[in-house]
Amino acid sequence: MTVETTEHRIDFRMTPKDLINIGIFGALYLVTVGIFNLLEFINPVATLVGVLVGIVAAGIPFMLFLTRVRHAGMVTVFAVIVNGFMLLIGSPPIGLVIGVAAALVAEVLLWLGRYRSRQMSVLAYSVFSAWFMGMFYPLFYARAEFLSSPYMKEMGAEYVQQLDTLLSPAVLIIFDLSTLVFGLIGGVLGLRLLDKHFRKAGLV
Amino acid sequence: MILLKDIRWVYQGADTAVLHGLDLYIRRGETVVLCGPSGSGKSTALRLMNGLIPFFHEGTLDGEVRVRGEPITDLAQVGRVTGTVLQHPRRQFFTDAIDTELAFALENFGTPPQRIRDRVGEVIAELGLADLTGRLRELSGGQQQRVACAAAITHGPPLLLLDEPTSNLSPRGIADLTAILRHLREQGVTLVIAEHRLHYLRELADRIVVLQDGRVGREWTRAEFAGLTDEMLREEGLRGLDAPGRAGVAPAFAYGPSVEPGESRPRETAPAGEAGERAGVATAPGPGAGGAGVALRGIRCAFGGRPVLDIAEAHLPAGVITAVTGPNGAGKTTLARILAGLQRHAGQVLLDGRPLSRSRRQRACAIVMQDVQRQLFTDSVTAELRLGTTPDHAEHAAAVVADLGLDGLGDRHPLSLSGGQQQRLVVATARLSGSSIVIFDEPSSGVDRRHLQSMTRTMRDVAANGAVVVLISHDADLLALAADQELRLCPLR
Amino acid sequence: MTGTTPQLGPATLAGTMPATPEGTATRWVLDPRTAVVLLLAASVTIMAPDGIWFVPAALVAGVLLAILERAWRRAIGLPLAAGAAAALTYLLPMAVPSPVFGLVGVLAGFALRLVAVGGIAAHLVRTIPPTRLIAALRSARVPMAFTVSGAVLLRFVPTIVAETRAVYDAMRLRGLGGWWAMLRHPVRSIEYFMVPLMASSLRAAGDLSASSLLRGLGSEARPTSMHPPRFGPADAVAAVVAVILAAATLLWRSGQ
Repeated sequence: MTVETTEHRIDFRMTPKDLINIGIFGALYLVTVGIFNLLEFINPVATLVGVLVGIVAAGIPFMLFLTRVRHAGMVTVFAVIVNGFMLLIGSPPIGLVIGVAAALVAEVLLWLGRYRSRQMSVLAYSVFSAWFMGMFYPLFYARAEFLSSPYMKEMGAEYVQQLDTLLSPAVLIIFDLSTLVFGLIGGVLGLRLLDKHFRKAGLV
Repeated sequence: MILLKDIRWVYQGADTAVLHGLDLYIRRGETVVLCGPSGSGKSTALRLMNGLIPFFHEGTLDGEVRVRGEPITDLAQVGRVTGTVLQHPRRQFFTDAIDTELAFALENFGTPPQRIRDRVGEVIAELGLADLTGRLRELSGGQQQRVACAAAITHGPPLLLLDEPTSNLSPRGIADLTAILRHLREQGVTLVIAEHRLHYLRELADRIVVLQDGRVGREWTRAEFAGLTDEMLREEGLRGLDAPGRAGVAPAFAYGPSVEPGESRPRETAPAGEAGERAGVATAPGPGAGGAGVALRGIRCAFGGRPVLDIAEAHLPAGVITAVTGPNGAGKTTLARILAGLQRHAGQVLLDGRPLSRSRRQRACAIVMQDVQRQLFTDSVTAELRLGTTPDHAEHAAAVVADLGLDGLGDRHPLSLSGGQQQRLVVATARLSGSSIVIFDEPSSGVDRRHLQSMTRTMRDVAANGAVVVLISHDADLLALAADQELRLCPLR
Repeated sequence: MTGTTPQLGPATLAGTMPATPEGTATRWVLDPRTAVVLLLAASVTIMAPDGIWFVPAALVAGVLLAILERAWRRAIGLPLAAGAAAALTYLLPMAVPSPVFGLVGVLAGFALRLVAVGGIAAHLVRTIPPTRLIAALRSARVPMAFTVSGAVLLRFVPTIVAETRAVYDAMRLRGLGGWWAMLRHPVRSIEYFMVPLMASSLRAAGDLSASSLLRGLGSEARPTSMHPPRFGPADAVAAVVAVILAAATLLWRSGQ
């Protein structure tokens, strides 16, 4: 009697071990993002830098995660618990909505690659990173409200015009797109370190 | 109770079988110790009994495994009839309090709330855990391991498996654990213990099984085991039968509220805290304090207003291995971090008579951490040796590498090395960067006799090169082998 | 390495560690379900367009919760932080009529909302230990896939925070921790930080997964709780206060 425990096919049932792995990598992902966001204490501009660097660094646990579980639904569960945690520490609820939607898209990409394709896994991470947009989404309304507030009326049309261009939706959209680009970079870095370190160390 | 028949097991990615032709039968109510040198397969054998092999660790398994007459089908099924205690009590806890930790398995198995509460209360009373208060991570190692045992048997399994349960415990903690194991044995629980340390099992074990190269090499009954000499154990690569004594270790020169008063402590009468006396000490330092080594003056450290370390004066000479011992919470780790310049503190640290700032100490100091993976940064041994070392030291690299038995590993990934090799690699980087203070933090957990000796040799070599060597350890075997002097800390009141 | 845990972010990751040991004694605390609903209500209204109106109500709720919890520092700090953010939002652009400061004003307005929600979140994080939260989610019929993985996540975050400290220590001792090196070789610095962090965290994770699988985590579709969550008088009071605050906000707004 020989028992082979190496799994090779896509399985839709999540075992307890898979769920535990999702929790572990969710924690690794969150702490990585959190550590780099410490930069925001230096100054508010560093917040944006911190978010982008965090996206790159968190690609490393995410890519390792993709090699460890390989079950349909894994990224969705991951997104729910990660964004649920963010919600509990006070992030905007829209983050959960965007996060789960992005995870579903990422899931489709992974499925197209049969949960094995390297290119697809990089794309999936990039799409998954879109949940960061949710963190800044309220800036959109904050901006509209601010510009239409009674205080702004006193400041004159020119001032409001300047502020509008400085904080135009275009700027925010550029930020949103940059999360995807940095997601790509993070995915590539993650893959590179998988080959350079974790595969050799037997962690994959 | 347990039947292992003609077992062969290869971990995924490994080329050789860890277990090969293993046959073992364990009767109901028996207490069996699995021992053998590192790599002999004793932990692996235990993992077969609780189903972690093949349901958690991946690989190829041949042969028959039966627990209570039935083959294992999944982890939860075998989890209902077995309890497992691992090496690191803190890592296996799922919650932060004793009652919730004990309830964990029962909750997962869907036991009704009232039954859970009754059973948890019963186990707390039975194993004498009622006097433990506070959070789990604040308990001492021995207390944590008692809670881990309790959490493993609350759901009432007839079989308890322990994987090197004492490797992070002090002699006191080992005694606590022994009492619990004796009690469980009397209750008729079948115990299987994979262990390096044998002395505490002398009166507990019914049978001692020595594994060699993945199969049963030798078996002793309790009576035979008691008659063995230390030499016979050494032949099998096993640790000694007697609890090691440390009568010969001299106390280090040190005093202050954090220092446990010793019997023959020099200058014991020195009243710490008097301004006049302190000035006197500064001009006329203690024995050797002006010479090579580290001197501590008025070191104080507090976390959030709570003082954790207070040493008026201490001397750690160069070329000598100073053991820092004491219970959890006595400030051993804090002292290490202060020496290494990683922790803010009041007072002065002098090296060879000159005060050294925190940032200078960071450069002059190396720590060999308990989990060495935390300090391996690169993708090959060669790159690791080059990282952070100065070019003029690099020429010694070949000599140091040969010295530490790392020849021929240059292209290997540091994380793919064995635990002992990883430790020696970190020591090599410390030597190449010319560290004058080298701290070993609990280096011997889960290590057999041969490795204990090679580790001692490594520390001696570092000391012989003129470094101050600090050894933080609970392991009485290692302390007996390696410590030249001892700085015993006690918790501040 | 033990010691103080670093604080991460405004509502901290480190804060997931419970403030008090979990035990049988029930104090005057909210049921986790009430706390979560309260937080969600505040978060959804405040982060929505025009949500700025609800900021004072959320702040009052946050201060009341802090007083209930006897967290005096937070009870005082919360209104102070909100006041500072409000000053930056409304007074600074008036004082310095430059678009750059207008930008600061908009960001501060966002921060004001975060502070208001953060007050309630901090109460939840400090008073509800992970085990109680998970038990409450289970009894609210959240699917097992999320409760099991979520429980593991909450359990493991503090462990990894401790690991990051140790890895950072190791980096400093090898001369890899300087700001200058990080700025010059950012990718290499990320590598030096993440590789040991992942290696040591996954080692610790192995023990945790083995021990929790053997103790049946995730094996039953309907696990039980030693102390099933129950609504108490505190929850009723919280609901009444929340309704009053919401009503007051609506009245105030229609009055303007």
